[in-house]
Amino acid sequence: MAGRSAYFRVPASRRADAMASSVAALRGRNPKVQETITAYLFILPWIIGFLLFVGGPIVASFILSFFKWKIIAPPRFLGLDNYVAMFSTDDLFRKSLGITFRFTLYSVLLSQVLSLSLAMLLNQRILGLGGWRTIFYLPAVVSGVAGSVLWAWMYQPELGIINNLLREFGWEGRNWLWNRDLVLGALILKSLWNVGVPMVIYMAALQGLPQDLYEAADLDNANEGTKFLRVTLPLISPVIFFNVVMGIISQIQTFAEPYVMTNGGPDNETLFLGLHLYQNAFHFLKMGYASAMAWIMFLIIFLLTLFQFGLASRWVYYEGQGR
Amino acid sequence: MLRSFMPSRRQFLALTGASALAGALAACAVPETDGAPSMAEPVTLRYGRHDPGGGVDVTLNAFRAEHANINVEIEVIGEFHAKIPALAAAGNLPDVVRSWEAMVLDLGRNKQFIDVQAYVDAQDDFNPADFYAHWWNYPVEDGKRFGIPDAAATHMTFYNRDLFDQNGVAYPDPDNFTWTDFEAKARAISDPDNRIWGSETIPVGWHMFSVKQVWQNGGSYYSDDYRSCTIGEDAAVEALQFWADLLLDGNIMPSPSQIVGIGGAGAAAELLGAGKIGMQRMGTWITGGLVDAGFAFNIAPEPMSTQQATISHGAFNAIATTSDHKDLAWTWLNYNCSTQGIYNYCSQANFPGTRRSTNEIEPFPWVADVDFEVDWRVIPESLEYGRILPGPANEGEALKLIGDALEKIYSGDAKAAEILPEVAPRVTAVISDI
Repeated sequence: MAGRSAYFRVPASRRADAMASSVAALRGRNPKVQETITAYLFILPWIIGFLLFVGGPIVASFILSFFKWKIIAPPRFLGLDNYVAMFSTDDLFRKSLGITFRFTLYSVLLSQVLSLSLAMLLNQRILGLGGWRTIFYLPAVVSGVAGSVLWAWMYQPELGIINNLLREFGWEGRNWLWNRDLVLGALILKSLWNVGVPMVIYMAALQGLPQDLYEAADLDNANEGTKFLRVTLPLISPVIFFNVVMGIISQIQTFAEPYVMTNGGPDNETLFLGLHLYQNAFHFLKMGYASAMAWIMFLIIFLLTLFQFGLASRWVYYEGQGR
Repeated sequence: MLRSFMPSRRQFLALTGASALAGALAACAVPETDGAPSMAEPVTLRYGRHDPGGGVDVTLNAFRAEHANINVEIEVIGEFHAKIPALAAAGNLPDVVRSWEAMVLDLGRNKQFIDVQAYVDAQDDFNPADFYAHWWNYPVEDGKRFGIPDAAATHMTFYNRDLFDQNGVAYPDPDNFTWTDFEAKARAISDPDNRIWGSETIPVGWHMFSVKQVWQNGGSYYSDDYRSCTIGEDAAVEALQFWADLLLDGNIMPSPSQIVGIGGAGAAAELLGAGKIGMQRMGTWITGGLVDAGFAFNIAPEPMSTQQATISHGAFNAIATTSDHKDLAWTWLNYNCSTQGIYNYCSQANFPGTRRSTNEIEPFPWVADVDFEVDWRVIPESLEYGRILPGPANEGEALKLIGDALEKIYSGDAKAAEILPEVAPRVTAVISDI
């Protein structure tokens, strides 16, 4: 009775609407439900694709990381043995981790400096600007494998263009890819070939900077260095943050360059984490171990990214946040 | 009228969804097996191999004429070493797989290939004695035979006669060519200032060369049953250090670092043809390239230390455990590995066959048409003493351990006697983990 009296306290018109809506919902004709269903149906192909080709393998690799699986034989449960072995008996894992970190550190640092410098240069009004921008961006559209083959030839000690140029100036060529002390540097240098992507992002950021702040700095007699440090850098700090985060994520996963140019040598000095993982998976057929390695790689990237987000509040300036 | 056929959005979505679902179900459906095919529909067999198999088409055409009920389709599988295990894991191996040496044993051990011995025994006209013994005996473990061999290419010493003549160096003696001779001849030909070398350099990491070096000195990488690594024993240590010393000498061959990035065997063959290197030890598959290069070459056996040995490289034809048509697969396999079947492939690839009867058919597959004398007889002779690349379990991981050690030896950072006895037990642990 109480329910019935409450019902009748609602105006008749609203009661009618609610009733119609309920009936429509019961018949599956509620516009909101219909819209939701429609939306899901439209994204269904992507969801199926994601579950089958991305989500499924991710879950499978996590499960496999607790197994010994040679691919051609049934998997055998190992518990945490793969993870324990990685940090206790696999010397090459520790070595590859160190190599990957060193490469990432220098490569990201240098590529940010270089790409920002190039972006600032290409943000000037100079002759043939479009051509210059295209030239500097062009390597970014070349595949990693093709670029690596090209650079391997450039580094070739007898025939490569780098040593031949050095000899022109009276310097002795070096064994860039065969010398343990030089090879990582050679790959870092090659990685700078791809600065086109962060460069374009920096250029977009620079072009969007408000000019009134520079005019105000001019009034204060600020020189170019001060304007760069006090105006430009803070304003583009979100873009720097983005490029650094993306750069680290991408460089930790470096694979094509060492695979094509050095195959991890000499003496495993370019055995990157990605290459070590690949060798375990496809040369040694240790798919479970390689899966465990992939999860450790993911964890490293995840923690580094979290760390960067934690630090971001100290140096990244977002307009409107009052900092 | 038209409007009456226009579905509403809801109807359209329902129809689309139903169609997609039906399509997905159809795609996932298990294809009807044709264990008892009708006469009108031939059974299709998949024949997987790493190359298009020039000459196999001749065999296929003859086979089709005789076996109208079987349709064989060749599947060329790129990235063979990675895709074959993936296909095996998916239960989708071709019915017949032409598999490399170590792979046939590994897949057999792991029950991906069937034991074909029963088929061999049931085949009245099958003559195992026709095969070279080491080829016939290789794909057998625990009494199970996992494949039948077809072609084999042995490694020989190819040499540029003009370069020998120019330097007044006697050609290698085909009946007694030792490593001492090899070193002396290479040293006499080498002119490092002009980048001319007596010998090619092996690509570091390419185990074929180190394996045969050890064999030629009476040693081995592994025990006969592949359960222990013997690379730390004296014969192996001595052989590999000998090669490292030649490599590091500077007056015999370019260092590996000088040829890094240039390429492997193909590049070395071009250097041989260009008169830049005097001798190249390589499989007979390079013969065609040497003929095309248009220079006077000749062939000698590989040099030896304590015994004559070389690599005999080829492949085996195996039947997948997952095949629904194993009997028919054997019919094709047996036909393809017959005397004529092997010859058809060999004659296109300049290889000898693993059957003696194949190598009696003229024109001999390994003989090329050139206007100078070549000692072709040394090629079939080498099949008698050539050995097949070893096939231990977990070979990839084992070769990584050995390769890392060899890299240190070949770069002069370590002596073979120091590092090989240390690495051998680690390799044993890997290959015995079956």
